Amino acid sequence: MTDVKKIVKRTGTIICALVITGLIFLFFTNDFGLVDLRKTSVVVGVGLDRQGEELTLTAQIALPQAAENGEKTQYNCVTGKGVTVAEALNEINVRTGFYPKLVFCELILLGESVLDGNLFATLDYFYRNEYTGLTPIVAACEGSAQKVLSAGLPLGASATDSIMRLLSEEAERSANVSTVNLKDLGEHNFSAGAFCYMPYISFDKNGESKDGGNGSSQGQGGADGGSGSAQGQGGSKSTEQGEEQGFLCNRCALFSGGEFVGVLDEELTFAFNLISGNVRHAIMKCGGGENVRVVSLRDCKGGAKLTFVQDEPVLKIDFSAIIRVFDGERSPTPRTEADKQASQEDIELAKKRLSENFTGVFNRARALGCDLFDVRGMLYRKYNVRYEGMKDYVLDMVRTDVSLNLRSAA
Amino acid sequence: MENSLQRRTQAIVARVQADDVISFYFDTAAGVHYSCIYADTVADKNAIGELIIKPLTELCGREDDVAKKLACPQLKPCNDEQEAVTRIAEGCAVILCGGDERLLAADVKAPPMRAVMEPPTQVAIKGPREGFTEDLKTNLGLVRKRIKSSQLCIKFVTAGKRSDTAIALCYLADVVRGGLPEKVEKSIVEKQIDLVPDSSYIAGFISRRPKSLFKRNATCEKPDVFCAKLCEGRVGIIVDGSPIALTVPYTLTEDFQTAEDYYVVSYRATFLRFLRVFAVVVGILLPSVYVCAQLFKIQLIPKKLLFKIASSVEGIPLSPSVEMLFTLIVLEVLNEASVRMPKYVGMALSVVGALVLGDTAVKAGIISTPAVIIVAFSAICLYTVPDMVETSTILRLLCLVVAGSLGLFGMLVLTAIVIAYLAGESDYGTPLLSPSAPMNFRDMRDGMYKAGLYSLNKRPEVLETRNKVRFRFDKGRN
Amino acid sequence: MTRDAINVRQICFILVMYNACTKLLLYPAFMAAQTGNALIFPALADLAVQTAVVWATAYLSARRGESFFDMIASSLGRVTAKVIYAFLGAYFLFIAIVPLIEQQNFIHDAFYETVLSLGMFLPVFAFLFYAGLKPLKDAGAFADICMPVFVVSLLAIWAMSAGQGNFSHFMPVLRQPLTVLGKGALASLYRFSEGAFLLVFAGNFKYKKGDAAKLTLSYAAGGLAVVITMALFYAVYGPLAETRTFALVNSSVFFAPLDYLGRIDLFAAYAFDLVVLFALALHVQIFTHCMGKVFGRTDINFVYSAAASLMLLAVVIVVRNKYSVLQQIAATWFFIPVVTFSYLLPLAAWLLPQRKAEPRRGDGRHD
Repeated sequence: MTDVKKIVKRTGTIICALVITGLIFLFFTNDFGLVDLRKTSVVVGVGLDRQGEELTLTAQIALPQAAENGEKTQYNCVTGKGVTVAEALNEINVRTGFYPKLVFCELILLGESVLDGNLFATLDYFYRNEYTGLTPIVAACEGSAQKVLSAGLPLGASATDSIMRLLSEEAERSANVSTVNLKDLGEHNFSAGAFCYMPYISFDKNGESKDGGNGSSQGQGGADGGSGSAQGQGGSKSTEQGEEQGFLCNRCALFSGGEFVGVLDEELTFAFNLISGNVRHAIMKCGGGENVRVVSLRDCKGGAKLTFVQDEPVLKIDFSAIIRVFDGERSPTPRTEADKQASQEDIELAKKRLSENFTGVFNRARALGCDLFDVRGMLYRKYNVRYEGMKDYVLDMVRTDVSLNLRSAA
Repeated sequence: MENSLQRRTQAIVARVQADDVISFYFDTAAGVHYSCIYADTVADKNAIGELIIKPLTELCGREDDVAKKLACPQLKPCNDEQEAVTRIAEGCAVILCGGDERLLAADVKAPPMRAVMEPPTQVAIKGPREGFTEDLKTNLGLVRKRIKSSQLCIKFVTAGKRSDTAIALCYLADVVRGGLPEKVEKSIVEKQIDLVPDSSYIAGFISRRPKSLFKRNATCEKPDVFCAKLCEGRVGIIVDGSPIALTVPYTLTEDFQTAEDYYVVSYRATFLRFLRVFAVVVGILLPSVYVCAQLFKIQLIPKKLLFKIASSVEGIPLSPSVEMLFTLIVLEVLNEASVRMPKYVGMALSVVGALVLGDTAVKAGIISTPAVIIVAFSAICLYTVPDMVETSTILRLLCLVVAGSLGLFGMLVLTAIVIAYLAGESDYGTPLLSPSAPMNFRDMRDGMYKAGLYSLNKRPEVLETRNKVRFRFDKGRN
Repeated sequence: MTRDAINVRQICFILVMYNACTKLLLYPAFMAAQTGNALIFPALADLAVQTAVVWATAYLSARRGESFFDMIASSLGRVTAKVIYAFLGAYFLFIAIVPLIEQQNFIHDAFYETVLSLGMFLPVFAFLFYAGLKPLKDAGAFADICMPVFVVSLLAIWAMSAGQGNFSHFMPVLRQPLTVLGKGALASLYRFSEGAFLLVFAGNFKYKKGDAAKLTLSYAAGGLAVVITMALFYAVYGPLAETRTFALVNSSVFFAPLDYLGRIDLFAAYAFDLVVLFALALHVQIFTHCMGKVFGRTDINFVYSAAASLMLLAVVIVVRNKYSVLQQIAATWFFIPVVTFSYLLPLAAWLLPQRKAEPRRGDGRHD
C-alpha cells in the first residue's frame, strides 16, 4: 500500500505540475476567440428600418478616447443589413471587425418602415438572445431610425443620449412620456389584451430642423461605409450647416397583436401617461380662450380597472391629484401662498379637460383596435369565468366611468 | 598554584575552542586556589566579581561546601567537563577549586540584548506597547508580569543539535486541553536539526502540514496578545533568540483579530473585522475580477466606468491578463526591494518606483492607469491583515493566472477548491476554519464579529478547554 | 468521531441549500414552460411528497440509530447491502447529471458573454475529484461555509427582483387544468430526490430528540426558497418567463441601481453557483462513501472519486449541446429511478427488521 500511496503522490504531483503548466500556457496565449473589451464595440442604441424584406440595423457605437482629463466618448453609427437582426449584426461584424455587443444597449428605435410588419417578428432576436437582456427601452420614430440616430444634436453626445434623456424616469414622472422596455412590450403583447404601446419620437420641427439632405447624406455614409462615422460626419456637417436637431417624444404608438395600429396625439398621450405612469408632478394647460390656466398636478394616482355593473362591463378610470395654479394669463401675480391655490373654477376646468382626455384615450385606442387599458387582460385575470364568453367583444361593449379627485393644495 | 587545578582549567578551555573564553586564577584569604572560566561575550563580569570572586577571596578557612558561601542564586554542579563547556557557552561562569574535583557553574549570563520596544509588525494605537525581544528570559518576564497565576506552566525544552536553543512552552495548566502541551512538546523535540535561529523553524516543526500554503500557528510579538491566547486555552511557544512567539492551536480567524479589537468598543472592532475580511477578499480577487471583466464579462463594469477603462486600455500592447501580471510583478519587486534596502535608499526607491516607473509606464502606454490603481489598491488591502500577506499574495497570483486562462468560472472553482481544502484541515484537533466550519455560534462572538466583553465570558469551545468559563458576572450588576 | 460523522445542523443546512440550489438554475423556466402561471403548485406538490419521505427517513434514522448499510446488512446480509449501496452510489451520480448539465449551460450565460469550448467547464471535474476525496464529515464543514453564502446571495437576488415583479401575472390562480398541473408535477418529480441523502447520513449523526422535525422543516424551508424564487421570477417576467432560461441571472436585471453599479447582481449569482458546486460535490462524496462500503476500503477513495468524476465528464461530453433532449428524457423517464431510490427505498427501509444486537463499533455512528 505504501508503494501505491507513493505512486499516487508522485502522479498527483506530476498532474499538478502539468495543470499549472497548462494554465500558464493558456494565460499567456489565451484567445479562445473571446470578444474582449478591445475587440468589441459597445452598442448603446440600435435603430431598425426595413426596405422590403431587408432589415437595416443602425448601431450607435461608443468609441471611448483618451483625453487630457479623463475620457471623451465619441459615437459613431454603423449599419448592417440582413433579413433578421442577427444577420445585420453579423454584417457589421464582417465589415468592421468589431463584434457589436448589445449588453449595454439602452435603446431600440423602430423606424416607420418597421412598424408595418409584425413587431415581434422583428424583435425576435432580442427575446431569444440571453446575453442581451430585456432592459433596452423601445421607441418608434417618425421616418427612418437611421436618420434619427445619425442626427446632429444640440444636447447630448449622441442621439441615443438625447432620446434617453427624453425617455428618462424624470420625464416619466412628469407624465411627458410612458417608457417601455422589451420586457414590458412582451408582457403586454403576450397577455390576454395582446396590446402594446411605445413612445413615438419625431424631430422637433419648431427648431426648423428637419432636413432631408442631411439625413440622406448620413444615411448614405452609414449604408455605404458600414463603419463610417455617420454621427461624426453628420455632426460636423450639421454644425457647418446649422442643422442640429432636437427630438420630440410626446406621442405614443399603439399596437394590437404586434401590429402597429396608430398614434395617440400629444393630448391623449399626456392623458394616458397620467393614468399609466408613476407620475409625481405634471404640468397641464386647461381652459380656453382668455381663461387659460397652467396648473401643476402633484401626487398623481391613476389607474383603470374593470368592473361589472349589472353584468355590463365598465372601465373605471380613477385619477386623483393635488392641483395648484402655475400661471394664467389673467391670474394676479401671487403675493401670498394662498394666491397659488387653485380655485374651484380652476379645478372644474382641469376636471373637464382630464375627463374628456381620459375618455378620449380609451375611445381612440378602441377605435384603432388596441386594448390599451388591458380590458381583456383584466377580464381574464379578475373575471376569468366570463373571459371565454366575452373576450371577443368586451372591448366594444365596455363603457368608461371616469372618477376624478382633484384637490387644491392647502 | 596547584598543577592539577591548572591542568583541569586548561583542559576545559581547550575543549571550548573559542578565544572569547577567559580563565583566571585567584586565592582565598586562607590560601586556597580557585580558577574561574567564562565566555567574555555572554557573561556579566560585574556579577562574577560581586557574586563569585569577592565572597571567595574573603573566605578565611577552607570550606567544604563553597556553594553555600557564594551569593549566586543559580549555582549548579557540572557532572563532567563537557557539561561545563556547555554551561560556559550558555554564559555561566565555571568555578574550579584546588583539591576539589567538583565543577560549579554560576549563572551570570548577560547576553547582548535590546530593550523592550514596541513591535514593528503589531503597532497599537490603544493598548500596551511592549513587545517581545530576542531574549527568552525577558520575554518570559513580560508574560509573568501579566499572568501571576500559579497555574501558568512554563516548560523548557531544547531544539537544535548544535544551537541547543532554549524553547519555553507556556500554558495554563487548569485551562489547556489535556495532552495538548505534550503533543506540542513531542513535535518539537523529535525533530533533529542543527540550528534553530528563529521561531519560524519551530512553526514548521509543530505543523502537521509544513508544506501547506496556509500556516498552522499564530504568531505574535506582543505579550498582552500572547497572554490572552494562553488564557483562551492555547499553548504558547517562545524561542530564545526570536521576538516572535507562536501559539497553537491556530484558527484562520486569529489573523483577522488584532490586539486593539479588545481595547475599543465592540461595534468598532466588529466593523474593523468585517473590513479586514472584505479587504483581504478584495485584495486577492480584485485584479483577477478586473481581468475577467475585460476578457469575459464586460457587463460587470458599469457603462460609464467601462468607457473610461476602454479609453485607458486603448493602445496598450499587452493583453489585459499579461498587463495585470506585469504590474503585479513590478509591485512585488518594488515591495521586496524596499524592504531589503537601507532606509535612506528605500525612500529614493519609493520615489523611483511610484513616480518615475509607474507614471512613465502609464504615459508611455505600456500599462494602463486602471491596472496601476487596481494593483495599488489590492496591495493596500492585503496589508490590512499583515499576518496573511505571505499566503494572500500567492493566492492573488494564482487567481490571476486562473482568471486569465479560464475566466470567472475558473476563479470560482479555485475558490471552491481552497474552501474545500481549508474546511477539511485541522491542527491539534482544531479545525482551521473554526468557528465558521464547523459552525459554532458561541465562538463566533469573538470570530468574524466581536461581541462585548460580557458576552465573552466563556472560552472558545473549539479549543475544548478544561475550564470553560473565562469569568462570571452578575447580570444584575452594572 | 468517525470520518463520516456529521452534525445534525450540517445535515439541515444541506437539506436547505442543496435542495434549493440545484433546482434554481433551470427549474423555474422549465416549470413556467410546463405550467405557466401555476408553476408553483406542482413544485409545492412535489415538495410536500418528498418532505414526507424526508420526515420518514429522519424518523427511521432516529429510531434505528444505525447506518442504512447496517440496517440492510443485519436483515438481508452484507452482500445484499453491498449491492444496494453500489446502486445507491450510482444513483447519486445519476441524479447529479441534470444539475451538472444545467450548471454547464448556466456558466455560459452568467460567466461569459460568448459561447465557449467545453474546456472552460473542465475545472469543475478537478474540483469534483478533489472534493470526492473528502469524507462525509467534511461535507458537513462545506455546508457550514456555504450556508451564509447561500442565504446572503439568495436574499440579495430576492431583494433586487422583488420590486420589479408584477404579481398580477399569477391571476387567475389555478387557471390551468389539474391534468396540466399533474403532468408538471410528474415532469419535475425527478428534481426532488433528497430523501436518499438521509439514507446515507443515517447512523452517521448523533440523534437528539426533535431532530427529525428539524430535518424535515429544513427540507421544507429549502423547498420554499425554491418556490419563492420561482414566484419572483414569474412575477418579473410573466408570460416571457419561459424564454428567460436562468432565473438567477435574469430576475434582478431590472433593478435600477444596476445601471450605475454594473451587474453586481451577477456576483450574487456567482456566490450561489459556488454553493451549486458543493452540492454537486456532495454527490461524488456520497458515491465515494458508498463505494467505500461496497469494497470495504476507504484508502483508495481517489480511485472512486476519479471514477465518479470521469463518468460525469463522459456524460457531459455526450450530452452537451443536447440539453433539450436530455430535458425531455428527464421529464419523461427520470422519475422512475428517483421514485425507486428517493421514495420507495427510504420507505422500504422501514420494513427492514430491527437488529437485536448492539451496533458494531466503527460502522459510522459516533456516540
